[in-house]
Amino acid sequence: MIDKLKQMTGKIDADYFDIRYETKRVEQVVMSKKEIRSCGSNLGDGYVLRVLKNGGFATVSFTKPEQAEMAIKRAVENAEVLAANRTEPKVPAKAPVVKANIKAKLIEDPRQISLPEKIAIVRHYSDLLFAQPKIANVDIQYYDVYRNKYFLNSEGSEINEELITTKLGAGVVSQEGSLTQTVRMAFGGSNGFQKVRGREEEAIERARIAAELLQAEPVTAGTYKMILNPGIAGVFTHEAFGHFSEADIVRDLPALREKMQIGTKMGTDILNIIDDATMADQLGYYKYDDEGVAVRKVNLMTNGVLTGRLHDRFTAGEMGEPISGHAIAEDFRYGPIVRMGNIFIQPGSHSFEELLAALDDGLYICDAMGGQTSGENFTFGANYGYIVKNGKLQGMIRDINIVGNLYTTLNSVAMIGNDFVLDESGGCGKGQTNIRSCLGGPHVLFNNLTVGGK
Amino acid sequence: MEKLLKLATQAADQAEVFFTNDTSDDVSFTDSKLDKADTSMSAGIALRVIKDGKIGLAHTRNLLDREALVKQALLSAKDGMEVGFSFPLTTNVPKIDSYNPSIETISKKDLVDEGKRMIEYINKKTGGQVNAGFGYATSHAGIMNSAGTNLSQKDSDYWVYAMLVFPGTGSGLFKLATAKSHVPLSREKLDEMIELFILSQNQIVPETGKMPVIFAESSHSALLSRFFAAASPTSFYNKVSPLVNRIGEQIVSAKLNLWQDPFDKELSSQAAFDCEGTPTQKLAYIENGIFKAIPTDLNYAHKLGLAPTGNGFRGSIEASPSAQPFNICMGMGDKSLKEMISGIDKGIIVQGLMGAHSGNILNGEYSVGVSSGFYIEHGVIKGRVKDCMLSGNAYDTLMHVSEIENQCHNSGSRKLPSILCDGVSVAGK
Repeated sequence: MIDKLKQMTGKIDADYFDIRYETKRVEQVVMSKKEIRSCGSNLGDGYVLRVLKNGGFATVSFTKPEQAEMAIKRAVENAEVLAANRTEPKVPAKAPVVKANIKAKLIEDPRQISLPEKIAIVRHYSDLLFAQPKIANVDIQYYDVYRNKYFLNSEGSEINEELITTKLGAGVVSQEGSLTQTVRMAFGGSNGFQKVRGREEEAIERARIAAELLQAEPVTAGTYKMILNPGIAGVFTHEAFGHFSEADIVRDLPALREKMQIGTKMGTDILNIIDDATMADQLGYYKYDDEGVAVRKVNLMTNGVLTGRLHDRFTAGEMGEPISGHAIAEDFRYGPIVRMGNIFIQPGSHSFEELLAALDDGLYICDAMGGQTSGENFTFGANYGYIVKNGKLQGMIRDINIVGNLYTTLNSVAMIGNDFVLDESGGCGKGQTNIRSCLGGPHVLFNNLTVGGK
Repeated sequence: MEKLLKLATQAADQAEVFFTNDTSDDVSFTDSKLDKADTSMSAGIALRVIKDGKIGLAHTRNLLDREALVKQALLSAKDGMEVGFSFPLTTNVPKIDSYNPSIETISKKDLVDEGKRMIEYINKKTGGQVNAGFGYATSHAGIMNSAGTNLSQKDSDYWVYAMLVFPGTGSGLFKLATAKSHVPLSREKLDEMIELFILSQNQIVPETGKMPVIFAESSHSALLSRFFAAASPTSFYNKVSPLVNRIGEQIVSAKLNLWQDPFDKELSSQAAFDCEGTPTQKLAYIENGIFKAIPTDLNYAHKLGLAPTGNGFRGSIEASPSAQPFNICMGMGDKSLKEMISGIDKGIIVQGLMGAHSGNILNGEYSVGVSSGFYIEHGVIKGRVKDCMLSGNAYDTLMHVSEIENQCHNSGSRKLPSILCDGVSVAGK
């Protein structure tokens, strides 16, 4: 394939180009209310060409090889329009030339598992969840996504990397009268099908929480001291800080760029935040990004001070900072953008009991229901939580959504737990979907967070 | 395409071929600087077959091997979903004017010049950060099936937006215009944005409590999306929707009317037939507060014993058709937005929300951050609200609609006025 790409791009009149061709095979089983709603596998493929000319940088995606000539023409034209109307030319940061061939490291290869076996495992979890008290519906989906990416650039890099993602996710719905409550469940990862086997106890626990939520009280609006469990501490790290560490977001917001200079103190002394996609066996694992740059561990915040940022080659070039290998595309339809790989708060030294004692009166908030950022503000929802009085867990609460501000919230981190859990759900939607966006961390105590509610 | 259908029909009981050829171009400015000029060209063919009562799917970007595609669809049907519907025969659909050939003559250079002029106009009056963009796209999609349906439609779409960023933040004010071909973002819209931007210099954290909230047309999709999640045939079939068995009952204020109009020329998703070949229809969802109907596709219409409404659309060539409401319109009221504001003693007008996709959506619960909103006191906008959340139940909030704007605003496939809801729970200081 690399040779075909070489042939295709042989005549490009540009200062730099890269082309990525990939095939993407998705096999999935979707079951709702015990019925299969969709099932089977599908294959798609396509090309993304990026061209730099006179400082103008343009992207063209196409799906048919016979469109290559037209795509090259359009990319060069687009780059020329950009070059003619920009005062600051785009310049990619220098990156090593790489020739590599990376196969996915799998314990159990989902491509070797038959579709009937996948259906059987989905049915198994579905039946198990339905058998629990008060469960009215289970929307359950299995997929494995096999991306086979070929990358070539004009500097001589030639990379073939496979990424295989396996996931079993469910929305477990409990019901009493007209009230329904939904709890999410997600098992999966980058290293094989075994991730979705043998998780029955965790599944039953999700169903128990869904049933218990029917009796929970909606949370009362206000500002609280609260402990976030690892699932939601991870989403907090991703939404409240991670997106502002993505250089494309910072670059495009001058006010943020000014405030988020490397070396700025933004959090309490105990706070260390890391993005590390190189950690083995987690959902966000990869070796090279979609610009052919090797991903590295980045210390984003060290003792509350901003110490690093996530980059693609162009943001690194523009901001004069080191490349980090975080240019990621959803698939063959898109050019890459800056994405987190695997972000978390580094664990501290305190047990959960110590956190509860320090919290005294407040809330214990668990598991995420999605989040969003807008400028320096962010929100994220929690699946459930508990009122805490005198350091003891009391009644369950629901309908919890937290709102905060980048500049104030990081200064409210009061104590960090010594445990560590990485989430398996993925799915960040910054323009494109990143199914391998990994996050997690320890339990974390905050002095002030605002929740909406009655 | 015909050959593929013939091959598939011979091998299965029923077959359907859907194809699409799309191109899109966009140009965007970030912080007043030209930043992107991209192109996308994509094509795809999707095949569905029904064999022994089960449905199978296959799709491809490049039709290199017809037999292989048919084989893949049959394989998928082997373990596939059981279905009871048949692909329909649709011959006569109303002609719609969804393609404007002038879209082909748009030049990126002209858009760049137009963008520069627009940004200069906003910059001069505000000094704020301006992001802006233009896009234009064409699509040729068609469907044919073993019942004899053979339909196709060409679409053109054009959009332009401008965003004025609140100083020191990343959120801001946003205006969008869409049409079938080139259209400018009107001075009136730009001036509205500029006027609010000047008022945004003053920042206010509102007191926690209940107050009237005006949801501008750009923000009440947070409420409507909860209605549509519950008024979906899947939620009905799974019996997890709070709206099950409530067709014919009042669920929101009697002031509210909500419908879809596939033939509205001002909206972007005009369509005479859906991706399954079912004719589309004008469909009332809410009439005088009374819940009237849900959108359906072939599969769930059959399962629920309803007639298909022609709402079976594909999000992409990879996705199966599913019931999607489109070209959504809301009935107008009788007050101008200015009059609505002037009647409020203490309240908020909201342009942008964040976090609308989280929470217990099916139940109608919402708890959302205000990314762009203004505090109103004694009938006058006092400044931008900061660090504030709105929450409640969408049905409860929509039951308390007290005013509806006397004007609708088109954006893409929605045509909505602003609505004023009383007693919305606000979390501030």
